[in-house]
Amino acid sequence: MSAPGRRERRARLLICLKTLCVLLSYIALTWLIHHAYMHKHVPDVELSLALSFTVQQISAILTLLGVSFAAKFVRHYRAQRAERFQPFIREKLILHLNGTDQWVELRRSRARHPRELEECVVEILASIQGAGSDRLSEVAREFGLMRKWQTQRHATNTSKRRKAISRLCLLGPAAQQDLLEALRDSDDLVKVEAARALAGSGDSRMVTAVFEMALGQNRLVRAILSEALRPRARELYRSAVPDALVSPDPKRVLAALEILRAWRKSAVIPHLPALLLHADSAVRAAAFHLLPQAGMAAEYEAPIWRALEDPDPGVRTAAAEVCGKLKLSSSLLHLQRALHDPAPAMVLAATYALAELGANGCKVLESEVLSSHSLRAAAALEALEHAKLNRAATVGM
Amino acid sequence: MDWQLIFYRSFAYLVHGIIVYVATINLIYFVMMALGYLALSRHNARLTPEERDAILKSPLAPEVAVVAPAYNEALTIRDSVRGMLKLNYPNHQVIVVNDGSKDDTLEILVEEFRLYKSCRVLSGNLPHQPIRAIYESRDPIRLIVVDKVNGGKADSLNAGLNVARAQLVAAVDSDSLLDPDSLLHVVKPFLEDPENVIACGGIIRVVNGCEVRHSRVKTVSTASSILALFQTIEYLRAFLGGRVALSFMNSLLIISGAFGVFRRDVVMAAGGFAVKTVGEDMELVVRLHEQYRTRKKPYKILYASEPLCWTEVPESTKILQRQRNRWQRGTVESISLHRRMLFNPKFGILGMFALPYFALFEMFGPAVECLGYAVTLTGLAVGIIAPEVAILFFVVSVLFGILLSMSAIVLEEFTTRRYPLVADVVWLFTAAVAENLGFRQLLTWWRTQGLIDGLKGKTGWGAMERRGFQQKAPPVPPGERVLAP
Repeated sequence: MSAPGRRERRARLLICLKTLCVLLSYIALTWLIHHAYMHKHVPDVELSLALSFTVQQISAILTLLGVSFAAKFVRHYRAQRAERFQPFIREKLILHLNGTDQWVELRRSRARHPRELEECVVEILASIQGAGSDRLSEVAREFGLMRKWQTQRHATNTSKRRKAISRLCLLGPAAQQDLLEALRDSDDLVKVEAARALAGSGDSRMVTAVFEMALGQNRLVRAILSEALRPRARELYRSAVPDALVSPDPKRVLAALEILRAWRKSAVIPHLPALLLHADSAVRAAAFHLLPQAGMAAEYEAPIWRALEDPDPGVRTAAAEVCGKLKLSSSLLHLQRALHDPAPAMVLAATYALAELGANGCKVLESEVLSSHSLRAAAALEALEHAKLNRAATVGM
Repeated sequence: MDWQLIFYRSFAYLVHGIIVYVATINLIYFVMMALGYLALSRHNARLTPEERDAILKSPLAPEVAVVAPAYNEALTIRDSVRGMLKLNYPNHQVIVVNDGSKDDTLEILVEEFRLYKSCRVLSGNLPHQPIRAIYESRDPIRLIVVDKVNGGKADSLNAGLNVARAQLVAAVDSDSLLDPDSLLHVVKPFLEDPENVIACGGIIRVVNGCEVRHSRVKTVSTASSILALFQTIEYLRAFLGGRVALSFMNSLLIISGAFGVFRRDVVMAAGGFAVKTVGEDMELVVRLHEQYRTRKKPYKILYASEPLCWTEVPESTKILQRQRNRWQRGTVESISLHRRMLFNPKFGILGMFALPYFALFEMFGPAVECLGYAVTLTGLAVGIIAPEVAILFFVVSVLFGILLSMSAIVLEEFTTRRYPLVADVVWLFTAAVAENLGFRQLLTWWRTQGLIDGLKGKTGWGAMERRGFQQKAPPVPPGERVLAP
């Protein structure tokens, strides 16, 4: 079993054990009320147990009520305090980061309103950069906020860990080691939080580390990190991307291709001709999806014609779509042949691609409308209609 | 033979049997609620605004076709479709299936969204009633309207599945309102584990009492109608307790028909939605479990508490009775159709716990509860049960109901926290107490009737009156078109 699988299993087991503990405590408490009090007053065992259970229920209900309202009121109280004190603290912090020494006032605020001060520091840190940010980071360090967040980074509660990481992210290089360690966190979103900060740090090694990490993660993490890495795409195209695309692990290659697709950048994609002929069909299909970003070259023609007859329908469809997107007039005959494909998705992709080829493609489609093959005829009609209404953007939907 | 003695003994056995049954059901509910809370607190990982934006820009987000069957929805269809088109998702399409409406649902759609008859090819071959026409919009919006002969909700969903080409299909009620980020949240599990997750359902909440503007819920508030308020508690209890726990065990048996997302290839391979049942949502999920477990293929059917769908609940007893009768019949049908899974170890926890739990407690539970009331009253009448014991029995049962309802509200307060006002929470707590004193018993009676009807094989949906969402703002004028986000 993989490491994430083991972690998930352990977490599930923990939840089951906790549930069992809750249940046992509930039963034990009922028994305790029965044994210690009720049975002495009600001799009938069954009746005493039922009454104990009732008392237990009432106490549970009252506890739930109490906890719920207490939480609501605490939140309300905190919101009121924030409204009252935060403007003042914010003002002092801004003066301080602009160079006016406000240590005395800030220390006073720290002593009286630590929560509000922390929130203000986080709020301002998230919106500034440069020297001001350094001065505010110093405030965070001086007041022990950094230490607090470093401790919280190891909390068992995921949301607490995530919050701590998101705050450490604001401290720049000072918290880099914590962020690097957080890349190994058991929770995906904690990792994402740290990775996004490292990707934005400007340090090439960190950016490469985040890219490498993204290759091994699920699609959700990849989607988020692709956006974070997008500003550094040019640099990554030169360094980490070529290595990733020749990885012996097809999953890593596929992940790298997905990231490139998410960047939507027109660029020379390293090893693309080889990827179009890759042994793994998913990689081949992904490489074809990237072709419009790379732009057409003569060396790609042969792989496209070959892919239109690929054993995998996903690759065939991707190749047909590429012909349409790149408006490859030389693909007309190939696409015409593809209309006889057994996969309905491929027939549809081929008709849409033909519609993209202009008058010649439409002529082929018009002749297909009269075909005795119902799917071909209907698909041709649909593609013609979309071409006429200029709705090519909805292909595949 | 001493008939009196036999009667007394049988009566005692019956009473003990009912007590054991009630204790077991309460124990299971309690465990599920605790498990639900613990599982929910672990998985309550919300996306930050930056992460949300990153997914909204990403081409890696899978295509989703939102399929909404509509039957006589002229009152709400314009707002509903607008709301669906405006969902925050990078790659979605709306397919409205007009199921032979007798009102002007289709005409409203054609006029409002500038539809034309299109030549779209069906990409699936699930059986359904004939399609009269398929419409698409002249505007750059991803809307398809399928006009077909009336065949029911499941039939319409099958038609929608045939028209859709996306990887994922969201089955929604056209009279419900989806939260703007609901698709984004419901697709999250599919992004995390695309190979194994085959279906995911979201939470359904009661829209009665909320302020709705331009097909979006703007202010969340409790309903002023007592019947709707009681149902608010019921929905919270069902979605924040039971479903989280069952999802944790990969034994979720229902993904609400109001909002659920499925992998299209999986549903097509399973044969689509069953037409001859009123509980098509539950039946499909149970069938998917059955097929995957029989083939020993890894899979996950999940419930996520973040994706949110708002639904209008009935405020009249007549309609509510009809709805509950139908739900109960749906449960009976689904369990009867898949009875071979009951207590069958081949199906793991699903066959040994989840399905038997549904059969014994959800299906027969109301009948046993009714029997319990009848036995208690008879016992009191003939003097076998002492009045104080009867009262105690009733109090224990009511208190447990209150405890479960309150736990659900607390769960809501500690997780999603949708009700901002203290007054709303107070109101909910009051309703949690009051619903156990009359409303629960009434539901039990209706569900028992539903059970009997289900066992008799009664079919049919019954009408559902729509009042339309409580718009606090003037509707968007017809001339103002909705463009794709």
